[in-house]
Amino acid sequence: MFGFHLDYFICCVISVSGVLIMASSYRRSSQSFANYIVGSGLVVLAALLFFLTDDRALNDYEGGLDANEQAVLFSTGSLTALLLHKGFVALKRRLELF
Amino acid sequence: MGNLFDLLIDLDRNLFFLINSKAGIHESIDSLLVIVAGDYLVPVMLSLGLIFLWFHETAEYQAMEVRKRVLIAICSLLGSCLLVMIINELFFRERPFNLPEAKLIFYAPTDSSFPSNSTAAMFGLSIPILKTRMRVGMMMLLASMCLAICRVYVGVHFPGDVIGGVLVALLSFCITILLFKVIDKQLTDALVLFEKSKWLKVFRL
Repeated sequence: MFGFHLDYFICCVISVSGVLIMASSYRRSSQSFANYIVGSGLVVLAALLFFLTDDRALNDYEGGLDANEQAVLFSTGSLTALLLHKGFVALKRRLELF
Repeated sequence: MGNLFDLLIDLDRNLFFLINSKAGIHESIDSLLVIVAGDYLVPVMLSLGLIFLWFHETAEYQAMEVRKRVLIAICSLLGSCLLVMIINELFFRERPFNLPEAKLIFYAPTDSSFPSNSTAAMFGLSIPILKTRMRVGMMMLLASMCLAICRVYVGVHFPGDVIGGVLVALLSFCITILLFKVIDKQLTDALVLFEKSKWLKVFRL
């Protein structure tokens, strides 16, 4: 899609967003089945996007990611997903007020 | 002693050929197992499992216990990687794809084959979860086993390397548990601070 690093980052953001939707649904007393479907759908979508768009079995000196790069990209991707999730929830609450 | 070592090496090679000989027959199975053996699918899935565990619990005491286990899992993973790095400095084993009859359907790594780094890291991440969340821990362990077998199938590890990886993970887990017992009170305080602090609210669901 956009290069190995950016692809990995985008897919991490999408999949972590899915997991956060499932976790927040689990936390609420009314566990919404729709939220589980959306959450797990996002995780599957991220995996399909990542693996079907390019060859990902690459060594780190041939364009793949080494362990450190993976750790940094996954952490920043997770943080981005968390901030996006919080922003989305805040926006939803605002809209419900009106 | 030397004979026993040679016997184990022979057994390891025979087991490798038993698994690796199935590679290259069905292209679709190969493609799927290359993805499982890769550096992305299983590590990311297990990390997503840890994120779910970190955020899903609402009861304060249970959340604290689960979060401690998540932190132990992360430290156990780092410990496994460190132990593998130390062993690699002391000992080098050729990769199995250098054997004439072996089939390689993955990229060719250049570092030491023993112990398997990815197996050690994934088992290091999965083992600590077993105590608090048995079902999730078993699923994570199963995914780690799939990764380990797939790495033998694609031709980048001997079975002995992945067994070595599991042993490294167990050692790392034991060391991490001992370290966490020493800092248990400080860790509990830090987690309480994380839960109560207004400034850290952005990191909570």
